[in-house]
Amino acid sequence: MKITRRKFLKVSGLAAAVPLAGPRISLAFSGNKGSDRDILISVYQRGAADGLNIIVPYFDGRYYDLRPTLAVDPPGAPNGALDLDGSYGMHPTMTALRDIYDAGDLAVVHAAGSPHPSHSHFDAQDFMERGILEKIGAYTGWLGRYMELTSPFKADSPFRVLGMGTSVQITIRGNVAAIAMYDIDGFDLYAQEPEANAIRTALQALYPGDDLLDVSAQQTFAAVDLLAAANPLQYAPDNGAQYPETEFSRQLMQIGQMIKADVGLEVAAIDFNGWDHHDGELGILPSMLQEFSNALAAFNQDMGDRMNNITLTTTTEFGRRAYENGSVGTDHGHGGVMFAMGKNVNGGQVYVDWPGLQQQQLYEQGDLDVTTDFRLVLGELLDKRGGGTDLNYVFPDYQMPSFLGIFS
Amino acid sequence: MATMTRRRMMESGLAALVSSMSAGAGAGLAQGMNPARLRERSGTPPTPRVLRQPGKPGFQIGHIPMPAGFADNAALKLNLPPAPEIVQLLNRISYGFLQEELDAAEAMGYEAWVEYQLNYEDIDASELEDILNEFLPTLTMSNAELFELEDFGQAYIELKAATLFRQIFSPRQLFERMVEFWGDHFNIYHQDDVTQILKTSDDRDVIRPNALGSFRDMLFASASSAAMVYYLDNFSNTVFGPQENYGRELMELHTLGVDGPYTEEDVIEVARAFTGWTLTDETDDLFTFYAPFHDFEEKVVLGQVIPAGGGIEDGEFVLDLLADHESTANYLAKKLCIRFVADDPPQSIIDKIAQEYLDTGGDIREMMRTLLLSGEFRNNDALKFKRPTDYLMSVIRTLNPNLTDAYFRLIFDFLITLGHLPFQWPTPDGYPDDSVYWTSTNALLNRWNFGIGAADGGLDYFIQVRIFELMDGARRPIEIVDTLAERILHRDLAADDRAVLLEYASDGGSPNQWLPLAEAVRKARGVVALLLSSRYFQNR
Repeated sequence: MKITRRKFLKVSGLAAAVPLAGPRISLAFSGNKGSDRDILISVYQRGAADGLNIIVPYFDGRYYDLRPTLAVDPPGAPNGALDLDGSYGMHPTMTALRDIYDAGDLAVVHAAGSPHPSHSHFDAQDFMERGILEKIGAYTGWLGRYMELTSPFKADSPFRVLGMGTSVQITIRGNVAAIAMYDIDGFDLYAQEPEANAIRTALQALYPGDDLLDVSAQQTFAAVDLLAAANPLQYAPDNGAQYPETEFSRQLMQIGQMIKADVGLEVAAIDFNGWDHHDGELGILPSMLQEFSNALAAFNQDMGDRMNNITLTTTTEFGRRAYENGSVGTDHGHGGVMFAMGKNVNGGQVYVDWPGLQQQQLYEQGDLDVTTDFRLVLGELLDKRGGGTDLNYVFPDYQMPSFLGIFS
Repeated sequence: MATMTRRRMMESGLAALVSSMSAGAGAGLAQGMNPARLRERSGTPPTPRVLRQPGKPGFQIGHIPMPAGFADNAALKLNLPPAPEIVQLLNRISYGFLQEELDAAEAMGYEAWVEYQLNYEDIDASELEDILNEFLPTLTMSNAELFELEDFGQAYIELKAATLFRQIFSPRQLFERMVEFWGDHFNIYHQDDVTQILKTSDDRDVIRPNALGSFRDMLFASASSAAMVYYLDNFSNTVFGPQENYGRELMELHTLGVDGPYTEEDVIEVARAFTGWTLTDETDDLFTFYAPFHDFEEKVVLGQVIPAGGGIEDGEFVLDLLADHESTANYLAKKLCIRFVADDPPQSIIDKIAQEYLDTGGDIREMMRTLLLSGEFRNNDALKFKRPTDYLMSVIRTLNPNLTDAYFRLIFDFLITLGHLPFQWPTPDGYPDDSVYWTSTNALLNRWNFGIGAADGGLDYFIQVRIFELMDGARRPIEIVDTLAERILHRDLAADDRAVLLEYASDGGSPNQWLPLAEAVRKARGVVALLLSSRYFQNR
């Protein structure tokens, strides 16, 4: 083996710094135009976003009983909710997303989430990202397993699976290696001349194996090469899109730049942190929702017609308790809200089987119940917009009911 | 390190930091950094980067850790030649070490070195502490004094700086590792409003006095630490509006573990027991038990009845109950073994440490002695991937470079990008401790860039490697590789890896050729860069 490896290094021309992972990557990407599946973007609202104040069930008087301080007023009232369908309204800061809803490109799923009973952020995020309810040994993520079953848009692209951040999200972990990227800018290997090439060549040779660390290193070299050639940062936002100046927005914009640079991106995961509002929710939630709404809307604008081939969905580990607590906040709950955005989303609708907020209708000590399993939404996403997949493999402990028709 | 030099480096780094703060930097930190731009720096002193106010949404970094057991799925199996046991010991209980420290440890012997590091009170760290107290005045302030600060960011920066300085410069290396461990365990996010200032006293009064002491004492101190009471919202946990955040994390993360034998009902009961543990501006440490907020009815926690009528004793009863619990012993033992032994430690050593916990009533020093002297630890060839802080600190402690006035800013910037600045993990579970989490492409690239830049002169503006000292007269490629591998890794290289380095250093010529000085230095820098970037040095 060892001699073979040395030989391999020689014959494969590693001295010329060709990526170990395969032959030199062609840059003639065709993207996914004409493909039967979309680029899928998974947004995670970490911390358990308060679905009841994001999509307000203003028709249900109990909502106002349970949240005397926190409730968002009905449409028509000053600073009232933005009406969606006569029963539900968006938080008043989310005008940008409401426009997309009105245009039919945004769908809302309410009382959605995982039936898993955990009220622990860590457990619930973990199970949701793995797409399971029981500890059944599935350590990969639902989107990662989906990717295991797909053939690439572009063979050998190291950017098929991208996690924005300092570490790869569980959602996208699987046997298709994922890249974590905090920022496109600076994603390169730096060494002084005249040694730079020789150092790089030797460094590649020092990670020869198939261990986790070796593979990660080989991926890194391939990614650096490709990114340097494709130069995604050259792409400014199109169609007058204006992203808020925040970390989440920058990372979402960079996903867009990666798409425009045609590097072979197929799925991306991105996090929006900080939704755990045990106190002071009135002070924090509005500005976060505005940022969230404006960032998604800017992405939609920026991508323009590309949204025919892109679908974005959002998840959060659980919703928040139906009634407010003693510190103008909400404790950990159960059912929450998901969004789906794209030209192939049957938008302009709130998909909901309202469980009710009467005491006997609440889950456990007082949570909005889950009537739509998050896996039903994501399963339909993969089936309709992901080109079809083996849903029993992706969601192994779930019998998929009939789809809701969220995607066309 | 020579005393005067080290002192100068500590002082200059701190002085530069303080001046960059007073230049209007205020309370924030840059987000990430660009290695290309760092390399372009020359001449002028560093200016503060674009800074942000803490507490604003959007700054938080990272996400959630792997569940226990994830490591089973994808462990590191590198099959590198094993390191000598004393090298392994130093790798695990320090933030990197010089040849001189290894020599001292070898002269003392394995067990004696363990005792020396365990009895940290006897190791003189006064020089470092004096300097820190001189330059970082907020370290010694009470919570009430901290509240009077004009700029809360001063406390925030100073605590982070002190933490990193101690990791680099303290002779009490094992102790600082324990401080880091318990800081993760009782994690408090540094940007949750007033935790910017309150974490200072939590670190000083809760974590550091007990890091090699009594777990029970630390648990009690944490429960009434203003920073924790604020961070986990217990300040607003009252009989009129119970708030279960602290009660839940107390069991899930601080004591029993998520698989521990408690129910949702227990969470609510524990929350009731801690009603009234709140904050006031009438005491110096800001904590108080406020009886009118307390729920005086009976509670039942883990099957134990807490009779009606109790006050602050209710919470204390719960803390004792949890500290005595077997699940706590097992949970803490496993976490310690994951940190010091392997991502997936053998059950036999976990059981030993847990038993030590139960036998000694939670004496951390005894647990660590058992751990470090155990056969499972000493004969263990599993690798632990260095977390970013481990990596950066070990580059500096191993190379003993000249550090310029600007170096500390560099460390800050890299740690931000690598997602491992102290106290910056937003959720109460603390930074993850498994290799899978930290092994990502982005991380590797930035680590390589740090190691390479430190070695090849690219980051000379911040860190200047003393290449002649490291080379020790070596001029032939074979001497350069072997000398530097010994100085930096203190262990054997696999034959293949040595061949790669020789090929690099020889540049097509003979590994025995005598290189002109300039070329020898250039190649030596390259070899250092490669060693620091290699699998050997990425692990500990």
